[in-house]
Amino acid sequence: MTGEWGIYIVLYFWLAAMGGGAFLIALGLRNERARRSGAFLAFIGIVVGALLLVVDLGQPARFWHLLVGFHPVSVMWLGSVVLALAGVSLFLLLVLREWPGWLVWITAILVLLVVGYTGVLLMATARPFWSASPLMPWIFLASAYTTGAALLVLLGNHEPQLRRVSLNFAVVEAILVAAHLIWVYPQATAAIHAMLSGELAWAFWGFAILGVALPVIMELQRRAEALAAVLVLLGGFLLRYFIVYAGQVGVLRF
Amino acid sequence: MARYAMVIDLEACVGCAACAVACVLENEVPPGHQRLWIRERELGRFPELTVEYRPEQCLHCERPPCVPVCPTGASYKSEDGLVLVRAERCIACGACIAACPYDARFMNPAGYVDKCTFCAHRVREGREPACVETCPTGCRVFGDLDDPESPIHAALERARRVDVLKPEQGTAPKLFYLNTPARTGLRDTGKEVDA
Ligand code: SF4
Ligand code: SF4
Repeated sequence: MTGEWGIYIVLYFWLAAMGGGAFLIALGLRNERARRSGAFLAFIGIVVGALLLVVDLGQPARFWHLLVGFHPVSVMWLGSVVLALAGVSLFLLLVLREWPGWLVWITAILVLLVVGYTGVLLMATARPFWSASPLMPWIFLASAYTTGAALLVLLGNHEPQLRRVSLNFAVVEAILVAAHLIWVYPQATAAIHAMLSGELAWAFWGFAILGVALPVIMELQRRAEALAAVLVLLGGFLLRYFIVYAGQVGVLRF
Repeated sequence: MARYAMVIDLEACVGCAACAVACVLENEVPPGHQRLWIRERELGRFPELTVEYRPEQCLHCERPPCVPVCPTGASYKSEDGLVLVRAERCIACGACIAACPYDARFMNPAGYVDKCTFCAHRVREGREPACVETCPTGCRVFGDLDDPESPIHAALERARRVDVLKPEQGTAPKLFYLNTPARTGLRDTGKEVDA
């Protein structure tokens, strides 16, 4: 128990974004099966993610403290409530035969909030690598779309839109990450050096090369669709890994 | 209501760390963690060298960013201006640790967030915090900003210079550093501290 945010948080960010992204994209596909599998993926991502969050608490048995109080100024509290509500409404979608339009809308908004919330949580800190630029939530949103599309492809959906979504958002994500790094460099120099050439370099370059550049090239050439999708998912994990850890580089007293 | 605050005269501080030791003993701080630590910096160039010793701890900010982020209400600001943690409510999520611009908080291995309390348990009995009582140079003064009789006012009046850490964060700390050596790079915030 160190009070720092570690691998469980990375996994939660990744699973929730992947599942949530798949759901949001699937809603845009005129394909009943894809929509159902999107809702299922989001449900799994959110439930497993929430479990990881609870396990990561120093006091897992007290997690209910989160839900009994009312602390709307706390980003962490708001996020937990939204997470719980998103889980409930996705569950409703899974058990209902017909999806009422309003429920689909509410669920979509909740899932969007869950996915974007992770970035807002990081921004609401005094760690400059996370909070010195306003781009964190948008990076997470873009990555939710790339990984969500890749997940749908892997599960055997072959709509041409999926490839476009995955490609476009990979480019947006790369631009946002680059802009973020330049933006926060003056305040978070040590973190950026750790990412570019230090102990987090493997994750950063792994993300840039294996998770973005390679799949973009493969998708442009329309080769090895499944492998490209796996690489995108890996990139989504590495992205969250270096973001979570880079924010805490040099959190030492001296 | 009281508004407790502390000043540390950096010209008088010799960096002996007696305060840090007293804190560990008083508050049973777990090994490997500190509620109070000394930052040491060399200033100037040879032959005009000086060392600044700056004890650091929770500043009991008037506007503490660590409090609103807490999802359970475990972190709170008390009526007398102390920023405290109710250990039994804390879920050890770490949100407040990440929100403190001064890295003043840590996770106690017993499962809650810990930090300097200005020795609230002593202060409420009318005693001084352990670090203040122990300091051999008397460079620490503890008092109540709302009490015109409090010795803290005299200390602030006498000082040639008063600084707070990271004033740009807008946290309005209630730990003031007096007479910071001129080349510290700390911004001179003037003497207007008693807002
Ligand atoms: S110094 Fe940090 S822990 Fe103490 S009140 Fe200010 S923000 Fe909170
Ligand atoms: S670690 Fe404890 S005190 Fe800090 S924000 Fe979480 S619940 Fe509140």
